[in-house]
Amino acid sequence: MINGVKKVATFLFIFIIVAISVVPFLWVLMASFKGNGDIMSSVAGFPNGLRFSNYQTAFKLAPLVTFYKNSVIVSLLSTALNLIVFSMAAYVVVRCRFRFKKPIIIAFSLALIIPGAALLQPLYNTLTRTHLYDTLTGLIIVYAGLGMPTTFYIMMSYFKTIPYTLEEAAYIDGAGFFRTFVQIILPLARPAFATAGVLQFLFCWNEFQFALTLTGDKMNRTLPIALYYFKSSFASDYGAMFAATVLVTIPSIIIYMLMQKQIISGLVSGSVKG
Amino acid sequence: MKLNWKKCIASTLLVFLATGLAACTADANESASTGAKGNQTPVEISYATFMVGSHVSAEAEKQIIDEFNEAYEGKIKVVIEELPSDEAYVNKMKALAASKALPDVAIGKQGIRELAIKNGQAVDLMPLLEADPEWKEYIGAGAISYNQADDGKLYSIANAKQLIGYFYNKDMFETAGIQPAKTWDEFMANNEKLKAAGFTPLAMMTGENAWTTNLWLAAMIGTDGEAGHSFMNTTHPESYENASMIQALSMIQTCLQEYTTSDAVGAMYANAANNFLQEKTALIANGPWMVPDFSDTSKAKAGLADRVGVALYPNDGIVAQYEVGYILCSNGKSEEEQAAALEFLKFKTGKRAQEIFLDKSGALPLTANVEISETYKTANPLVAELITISGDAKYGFENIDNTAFSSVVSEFSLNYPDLAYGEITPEEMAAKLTAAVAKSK
Amino acid sequence: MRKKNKWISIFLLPGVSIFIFVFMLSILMLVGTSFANWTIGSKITFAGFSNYSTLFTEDPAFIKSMMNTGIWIALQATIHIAIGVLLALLLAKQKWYTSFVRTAFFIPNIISSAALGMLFLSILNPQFGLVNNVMTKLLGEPFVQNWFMDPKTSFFSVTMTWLPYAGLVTILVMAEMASIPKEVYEAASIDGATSMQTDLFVVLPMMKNIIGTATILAATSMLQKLDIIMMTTGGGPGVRTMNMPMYLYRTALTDNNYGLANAQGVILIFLGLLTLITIRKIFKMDQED
Repeated sequence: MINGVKKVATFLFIFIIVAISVVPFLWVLMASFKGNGDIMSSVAGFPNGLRFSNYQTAFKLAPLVTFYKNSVIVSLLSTALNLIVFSMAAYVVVRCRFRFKKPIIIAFSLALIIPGAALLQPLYNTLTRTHLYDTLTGLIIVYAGLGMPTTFYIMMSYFKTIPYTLEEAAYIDGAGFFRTFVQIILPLARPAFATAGVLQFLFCWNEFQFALTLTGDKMNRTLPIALYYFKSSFASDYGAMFAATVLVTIPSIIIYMLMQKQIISGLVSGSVKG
Repeated sequence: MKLNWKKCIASTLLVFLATGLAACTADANESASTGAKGNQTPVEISYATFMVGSHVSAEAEKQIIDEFNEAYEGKIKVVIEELPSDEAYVNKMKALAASKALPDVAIGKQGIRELAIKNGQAVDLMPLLEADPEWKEYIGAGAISYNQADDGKLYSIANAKQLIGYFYNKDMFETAGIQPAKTWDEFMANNEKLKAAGFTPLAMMTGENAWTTNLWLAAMIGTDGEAGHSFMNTTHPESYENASMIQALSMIQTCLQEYTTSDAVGAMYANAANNFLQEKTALIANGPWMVPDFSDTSKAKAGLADRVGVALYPNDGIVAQYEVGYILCSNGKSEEEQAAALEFLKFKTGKRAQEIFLDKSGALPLTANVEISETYKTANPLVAELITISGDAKYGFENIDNTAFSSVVSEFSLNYPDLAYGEITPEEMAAKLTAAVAKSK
Repeated sequence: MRKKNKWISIFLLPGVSIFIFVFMLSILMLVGTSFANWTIGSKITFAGFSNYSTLFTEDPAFIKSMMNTGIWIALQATIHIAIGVLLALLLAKQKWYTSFVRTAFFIPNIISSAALGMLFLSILNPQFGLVNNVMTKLLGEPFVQNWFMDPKTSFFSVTMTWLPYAGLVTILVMAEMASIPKEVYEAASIDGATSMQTDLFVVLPMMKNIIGTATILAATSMLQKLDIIMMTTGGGPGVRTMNMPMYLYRTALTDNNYGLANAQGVILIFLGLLTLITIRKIFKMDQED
């Protein structure tokens, strides 16, 4: 009896969660095949049939291909840079004692709470002075920095769960600091890398405000900006906007599906036992 | 297996990083070096625009820039920054203004012109206009005096005249047995009749800049005797607490509560436009750029174009205004760049550009020097009708977007919901608007 | 040991340089100009504490935005985390639906906020929205509730828009659960613990760190998130749904007042630090440092 109630409650909870999560995407997907009038007035069904023209319009109105290419470059490189740099920093902060440890944790935590609107102007100035304004390189570095606190915190939390005995054993075997990090720690931290990596990738993939402020040339712009090509004061093409949204979202969903195996793959048998 | 995975990832990432960064820096070098090739390099000038993508004027804008680049090939090249959506445009311009890095030519609306004057980049255009009689003729006295400051300086030039009345659904009017109202009392009575006939009268919205709602508000104030008329022709008024304003706000309150769609409060322009296009409402206050939508079956009900009429606001009022238009921010730049930027500004506001804008996006030319052909009038009867009835208007006035600071405009959209739900009185709302003026000081 | 010091420097250097490049100038400017009169395009002049006193004495809208932000932080740090953790525990049981649910729950975190905002507006639209249509069917009479704009429901509606972001907590916790060796579960079941007891007394304590981290990320996100508010209510009606990042953004980009906006930024950072320290204390995260 108790078990039955628990089962039903569990199922209900999961059902509601899934509904809340999936309905939005399905709605966007359906809307991408509708005309403006249908999106703005009826919700269900396709009273005027499927319109594939939204997808054509999306490619016609916005330079999607260029933006796609840029988004891929920026997101991948920025994620790589962010993971490498801040996993190293997090490892040292968790495992070693040194003089500036507290200030570094505080500084990196500040990055978590500094308001984005306050960063725009100074970053624009910094990038102009270093000749990185309107370059993908500039955007890559900025994104790596903006995603820093999240990665740093996830990594710190995960490194703390790894028992120190493994590293000790490696040192006794004569391995150096760097080699221990690469050979022992990195493989163990795969779920954390996958998690932080997914979050960082999504952040870069969807970020709009900084991309707009820090680039000027159409050749250096990223996908989120494309969505606004369909939204203007007196003529909005929502069908095309949702078509573009689908095109922007699908790669992220695929990447997430591929990465989530890594996230929960758990410890590879044998690695704990050394 | 395990080892492989790690090595693969690591090496691919490293390769990625290396090539990617190399590619990026190569790009940067390349673009930097092309400027120095050959001695016949064109002067590059920068220009920023939001007329891209789905914007009504995107096509006209592209044609003007293409024609300019063709005409000045080898001499001047316009480098465009595309900023899709008004909001994206204004935000980016503000960031650039704060760093004194506004483009050579830009659109000065929503306070951008004032920032350009403040940061010293804006150029006084009056002497330049005086030096070029032909250009001045096509701009015309009206547009010049509209944008001229009290000290005689002119920092921006419009490229179109705006006439805005309202559109109405003739069939619904016929069913309800009414004509476009001549007085505001009649207007309210008409709304009641439409409602009784089973129609929703007004397509209103209070989100974004509350565009369609504020057009009615401006008309109510602007036709309310001399006091109201002069208030609606005052740029950046100090106070919103006057009798015309409060009376108009209480009329709007009634309209929001009784005579509009259930989604009007908080709605965007697109919702209101759609409600009229799908024949869910009988009236919408809007400008001539909406006309093409009436015959676009992907947006409107089939045959709507034949069922739409255009009218003056009650008391014979019309929104007749010039835009802020284009600013020249070449102060302190090289002489070649200044000259080139001026050429572009002349082209952008001159005869040819006005023709293209009329043809492609229903924007009316600044002066009668640019003729509106009979062919155009036959093809666009509603626009022609609007021009005709504008001659009968007793009251011409501006809209709120033109006269108010952006902080005030957003105060409107924040407080309309409270007004509609009776949480604040018209007097309280007017006081809040006055308080918002101080924020922009 | 000296060799190790060399490695510590090498490991920290890139991170610290990126931090300096991206944040240092901003933080210095932010704090410096919060004591200045500075509007876009004008000269910066020293103003002492006047920005701060303006905010606390003459700006009820700012006070309201602070209170709203506080409420939302509290909700994020409790209800949100509870939902996320509960789902993680349920999904750890590896049922047939696990991987589907895990993906589904994360989708809202994947869609761009511009699209998500449009979507909330459409689903909650008073005239044709999904929610009102369902209510109309259930009640058998027209149900016309303007969720976002009715002063009575606006705060609740905006609060609901944060809900889908709980998927983030779930994947964070799941990543860490993956590091629990199978032996732990086996040992617990040999000792006769039910699965609920195992979750409560064995798994959760082991998850302390990541739940603390997730709480920090969720709570501080409320000091950053403004795009959904911008798309839906803009902070209205009045200032009922205004939060601090939204108000700061308006002060900077609508009123052009950078000085005042940066004073708000400094206050926001203080609030954030307070939140951080509190959460770290509650979860005893500094212990093994």
